[in-house]
Amino acid sequence: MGSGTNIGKVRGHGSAQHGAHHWMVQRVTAVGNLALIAWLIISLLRLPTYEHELLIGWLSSPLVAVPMMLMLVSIFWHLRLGLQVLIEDYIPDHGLKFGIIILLNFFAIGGAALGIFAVAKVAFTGVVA
Amino acid sequence: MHPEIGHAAQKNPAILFACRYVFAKALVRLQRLQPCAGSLIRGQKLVKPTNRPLSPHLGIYKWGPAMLVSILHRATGDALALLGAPILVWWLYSISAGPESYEFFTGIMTTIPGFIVMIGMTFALFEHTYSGLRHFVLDAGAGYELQTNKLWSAAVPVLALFSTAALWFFISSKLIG
Repeated sequence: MGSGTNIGKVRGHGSAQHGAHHWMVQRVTAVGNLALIAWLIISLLRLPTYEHELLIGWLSSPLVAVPMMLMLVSIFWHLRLGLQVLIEDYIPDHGLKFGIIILLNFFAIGGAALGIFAVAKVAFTGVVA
Repeated sequence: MHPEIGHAAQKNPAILFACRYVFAKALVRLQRLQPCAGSLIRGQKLVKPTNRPLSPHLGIYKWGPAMLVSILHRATGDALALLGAPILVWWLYSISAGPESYEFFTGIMTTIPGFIVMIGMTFALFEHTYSGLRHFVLDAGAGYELQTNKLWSAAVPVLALFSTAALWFFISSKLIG
């Protein structure tokens, strides 16, 4: 601080000491959500029925499994950032805030991991013989 | 704006956007506040305001569409994060876990409370999406004129309701017909 470049002087500031990074990643994941959820809705509406066997065949296609996994990453990343702001706004106690943000990380990473694993399982093993 | 931040903002668009966002939000919040009716001139004599509200004052405001859409953005985002995303993962898990697990999922989701949740999540998704698109426009520095801001704030929930109705009309006509 003080003798660095202009960008170095402001980087990492703001109320959460993270500069504009949080804000920017929230926008990037928002665009990801917009594209990938639009894809999911259209892809689902184009299916003739929603029987289990048909969904297994649909989900095991690489052109469905890959965007589905990317969508899970984008959604859970975006919701982690959004809920972090909620927590920072309404929980003034630093210790409690820290603990709840740890729980939020478990929720976001765990939820995304479970979803991605489920898709991978169907994609690699699920084809109905 | 602090000159050093202004200088850095010229070099880094992310900071420029963030500054604009913060200033714009503060501006919108100020615009929402009603002017206080404390200092009235009566017969050339300035009546000393005795009950002027402190600004910003939580008791002095008028409901407007911009407030509604701002609150709905947070509420729908939280609903999607805490309820919608777990249901999405449960759906994928149930497909991967086998036909009985999937039937259990569809069995619960096609009860009346299940439909209420699904339709509610659909509305939350459209509301949050359109509201998010509005945020992108505001981030670009556009749409702050009072009438324009009011118009698009009011349009967001209306469009979200219309989209939810249209999507569920399509789904029901597909499933029944």
